[in-house]
Amino acid sequence: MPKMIEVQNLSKHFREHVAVSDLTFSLEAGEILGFLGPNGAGKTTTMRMLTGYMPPTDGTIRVAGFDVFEEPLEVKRRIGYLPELPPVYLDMTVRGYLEFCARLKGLRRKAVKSEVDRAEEATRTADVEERLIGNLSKGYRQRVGLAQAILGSPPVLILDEPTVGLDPVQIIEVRELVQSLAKSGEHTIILSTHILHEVTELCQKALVIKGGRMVGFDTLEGFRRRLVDGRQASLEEIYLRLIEAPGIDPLSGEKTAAEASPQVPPEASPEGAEKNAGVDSPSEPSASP
Amino acid sequence: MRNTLSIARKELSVYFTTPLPYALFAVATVFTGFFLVGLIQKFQRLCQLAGQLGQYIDASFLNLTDFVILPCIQQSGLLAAIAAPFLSMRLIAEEKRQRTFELLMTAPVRSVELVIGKYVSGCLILALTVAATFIAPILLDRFSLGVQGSGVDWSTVRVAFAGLLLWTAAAMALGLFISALTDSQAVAAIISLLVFILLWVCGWVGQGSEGIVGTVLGYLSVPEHLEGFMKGIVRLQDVVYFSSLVVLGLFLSHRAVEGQRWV
Repeated sequence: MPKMIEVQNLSKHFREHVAVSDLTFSLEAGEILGFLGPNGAGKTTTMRMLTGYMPPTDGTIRVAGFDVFEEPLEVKRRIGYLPELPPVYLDMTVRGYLEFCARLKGLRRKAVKSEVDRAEEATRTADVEERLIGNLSKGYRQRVGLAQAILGSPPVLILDEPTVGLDPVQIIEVRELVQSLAKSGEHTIILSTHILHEVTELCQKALVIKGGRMVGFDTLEGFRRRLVDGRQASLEEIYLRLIEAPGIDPLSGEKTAAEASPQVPPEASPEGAEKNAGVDSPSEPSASP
Repeated sequence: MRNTLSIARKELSVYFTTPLPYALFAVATVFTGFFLVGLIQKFQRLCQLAGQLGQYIDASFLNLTDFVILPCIQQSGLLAAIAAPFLSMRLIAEEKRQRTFELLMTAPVRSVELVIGKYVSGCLILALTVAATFIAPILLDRFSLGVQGSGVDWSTVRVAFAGLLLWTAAAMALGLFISALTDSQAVAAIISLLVFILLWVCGWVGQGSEGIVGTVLGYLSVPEHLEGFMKGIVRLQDVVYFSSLVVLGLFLSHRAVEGQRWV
């Protein structure tokens, strides 16, 4: 299967501050990735670079074979993106907003109506479609944001903390929605979240970053085999191990990944791990000045 | 092109769901009404004076177009300078504040389409606002039908109005640029207002100064360039002046929007 998302040596610096450093991973079509890391680890920055909102300082991103920097429009056509705060217009009705988004995504006039209907149904926002978004609760706004992301069934979905700030019922609803999207197999999904069992439930792989550096990228099974000797440890335990690894040297974490990679299942990207191993040394000086 | 239209359409729908354009229309109509009444009274007094001095002066220069309608359109230019910041301030600053800028920048839309769509919608509302001034010639045309036909010289009025529209187009382009520089609508409005008022009054300073400074300020002055239109004359230099402002404003807006990616 072709790689849907390929990220190579991705770095982002804000003046002196290094937000993301030397991130390399790839996803195949239909894979669901849980994107984990403490607040400020660079998750949102990475997602913004993937969607073409920000240019990387260094490195390349290819989505469905198109380079984000060279052919941004082709990439943007293929990505549905839900930012951290739902990007909604408070002065618009739900329907008006979704129709606007559908037109922006280049859907034909006839397709606009049916797509908006479909997205509203999927996110259960049809009953508020005539209301102004400014008058909706946070949960509904989040769902409207999600509806916007799935308009036009883009092959890649990037969801930045879709369940943050929702009540338990809403969290379950959004999770079910993401699950149904995942099951359809039409989407490659990158999901950032702090709720770890969400990742266990939804995702095939997890990518953990810390301080802008990747400390782990594997399937849950792969992590277990490597870090806890195959014990049925929860993702929480694995996550804590990755984040609070003694010595706090993220590179050593990456090296572990490279060593362990031959044993991981075929689709669990030994390729990604190799790249990590390959870029270990050149990345060091770039971070130190 | 389709994207531009979608964006313009959305902007218009947002404008009309907020009370802002209605408030501006109200202000514009009230101001025009005041000016119109004042100018008509002044015109009346002039006519009476001319009647009393009939044997000494030739009163044929007294006409509605020159003494009522054109001053009314001229003041509308100042009205546009004051109204434009309120319309342009939200265009891009609001998107940034609401975080919807991220939506636009990650949608398959070119920056130039975004800028033009925003610009067109803003221009349209501002043109509607100053169009309130058009009540003056229409009313006077209805009431001044005399032996010699209408008292309104429509060809002059049309040119004057075209000049006014050119100025609104220029103001909107500059306002859009200023809105693209900040995420605060208030800051965008204040700076735009400052720029427009400076453009409006710099000619007065220019008249007082000597040499190159005076000349440059004179060239920059908006009323100086509206003057020709207000006489019913289309001068190339005035058209070039306003279109340069439009092009400059749009170019800088485009740069500013693109520049967001490079912070």
